[in-house]
Amino acid sequence: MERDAFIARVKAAARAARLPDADPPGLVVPDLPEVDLTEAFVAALGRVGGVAHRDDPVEVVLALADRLGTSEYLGWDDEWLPPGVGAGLRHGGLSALAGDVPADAEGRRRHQSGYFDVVLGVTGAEAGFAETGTVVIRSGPGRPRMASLIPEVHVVILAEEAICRSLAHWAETNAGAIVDAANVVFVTGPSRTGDIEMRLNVGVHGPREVHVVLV
Amino acid sequence: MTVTPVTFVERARQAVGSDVARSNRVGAERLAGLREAARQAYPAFDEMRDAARQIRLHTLAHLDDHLQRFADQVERNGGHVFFAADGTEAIGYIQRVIQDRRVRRVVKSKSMVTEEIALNHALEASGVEVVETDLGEFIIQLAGEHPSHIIAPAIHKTAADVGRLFADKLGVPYTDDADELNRIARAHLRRIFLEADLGISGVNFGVAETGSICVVTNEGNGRLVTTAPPIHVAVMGMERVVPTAGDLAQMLEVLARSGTGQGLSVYSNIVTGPRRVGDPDGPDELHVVILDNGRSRALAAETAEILACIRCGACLNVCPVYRAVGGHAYGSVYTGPIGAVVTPALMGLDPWADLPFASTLCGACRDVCPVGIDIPRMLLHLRRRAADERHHPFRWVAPGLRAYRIAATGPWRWRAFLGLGALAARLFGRSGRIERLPFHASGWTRFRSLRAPAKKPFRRRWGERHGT
Repeated sequence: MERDAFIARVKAAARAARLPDADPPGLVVPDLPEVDLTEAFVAALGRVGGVAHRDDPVEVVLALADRLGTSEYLGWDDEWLPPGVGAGLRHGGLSALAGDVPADAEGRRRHQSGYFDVVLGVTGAEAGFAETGTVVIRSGPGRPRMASLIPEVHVVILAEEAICRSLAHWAETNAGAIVDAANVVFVTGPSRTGDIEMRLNVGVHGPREVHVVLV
Repeated sequence: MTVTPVTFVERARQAVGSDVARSNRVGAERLAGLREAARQAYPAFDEMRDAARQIRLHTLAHLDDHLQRFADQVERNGGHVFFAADGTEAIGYIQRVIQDRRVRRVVKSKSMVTEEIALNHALEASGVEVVETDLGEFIIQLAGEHPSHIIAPAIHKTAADVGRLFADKLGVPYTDDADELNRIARAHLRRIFLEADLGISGVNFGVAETGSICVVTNEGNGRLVTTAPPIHVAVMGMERVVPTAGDLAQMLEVLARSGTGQGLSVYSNIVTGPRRVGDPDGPDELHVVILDNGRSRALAAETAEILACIRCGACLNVCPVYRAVGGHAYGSVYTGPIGAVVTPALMGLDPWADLPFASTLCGACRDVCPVGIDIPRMLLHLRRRAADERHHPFRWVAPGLRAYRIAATGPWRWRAFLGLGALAARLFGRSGRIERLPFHASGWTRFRSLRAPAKKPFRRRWGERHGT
């Protein structure tokens, strides 16, 4: 249907609609109890099946790589991780897979098939929500979306001062940041499903484990 | 081969006591409990629901403006927008994209709106392979069935069912271990994601101010569908916009809590245009198909408020009728209380006039709705319209009420009518109760007895005492 005709039809319907009179409210930021943000974040992350760490991020990643028996990771470029992390991982024997996918369909497929079985992903995060144990991950140059999506184990490095009370608290001042990239994702724990007999299962498509290293 | 019964009553009769209905009940009760726990754990929940309601109603009242802005912004971000008046137009557009780009394999994440327009069926008929990637939908697709719950489509399947299905269709050894079944699905679907030429997702929310779309999933398939293939097609019911990014945050605050009791779903995935210069990955093309398909009709009628629905499924989980009959009895992709309104509101009362009657009007759905939709009021409205338009599913009701009107509008006729009641009491009553009525009236006494009318009507006793 032509756009104008479509919109005209919607307009006529909206004018005829019998809806309660409502003004657009601003974002309601709830008045939540005062808590220690870091402690609350760690607790909430635990509730959704994630693991918090307070050790050196390089050591955390290397220990996980050792457990997984891998020498590769898919991650953010060094410049987007805290200083020294990328170099530390290389020094520890890990090599970073290239996340840049070619623009042509065949090149994309070939490139993605090269890393689709990667088991370890390493990213930073823009913010954390203490109420829900969520991290905000924004894609962009040097920050592939796949790094937080396809590996079995995802390590997120999060600055403690970036933890906010809740999504609403964060959105109050950062709503613009939600859309300031082609992709922003709020990640709340490991990938999960209850589709077989309502039993919780992790890792059906995304990471089976989410580790958040607080720095 | 069974023939699908044509009325709700017939479908419900088949469903009651079935495995589907039983598992729907268990799942629904579980989800309702999780929601209630989440509400109690988050004191701000009710305040957030009020705000969410205001946002949705405001958006609907100015839907044309918000849609315009949304479409402009999607295009500014480098995406394509197509306005589809109905399912046929939406399918036609997607088929053109598929032909132009020589697409052979399509992956999908769970989307009610594509079920509504039977997109998979149409694409498969034109020779394209379409794979559902949500685990529940994948199971349903392999089995050749329909979803029975909005957010838990395979809620009626046991692990043993799934194990047999996977062994049969995927050629893997039989197992009924849910962990192992998940691993099998993950490995199988990973290869399919890699080969896919195009991904189709639904849209939970579109943001008018920025042209962003938000797809919410727990499994992560919604992210893979919108990241791995070179082309992403998002199909959005036209009512799904919210004005601003802050409004999106407000809606996300209530969606998962209502649906599954989670604070937030695992992934709230926000896509703003195709991948940008310098972005390492993501689709190179983005198409947003905005669908009317009866929505403007619903918006112009008493049913406008139903378009505020955010498809959380909370009303299904508390509904005594849904719990008894399960999702399949509704005969439509939209089930439960919301389906009893949405289906006739979008698709017309013919042949869906019996759905608004599939409710006890207890109001539990209204109480749990995150956007406060008054579902019972709309059910009553649709019932009245069904009667006015002579689609009333119970043929005896209208003549019965006409007969009652004749009886009740003249003193002599009324007295004679009451005399019939006294006669019935004498014929069928046993010590003050009626245990069993014959023929068409038998339904009234199948599960209970009725108090018999008094042998001497009240009017006569009143007259004798007061001498009128």
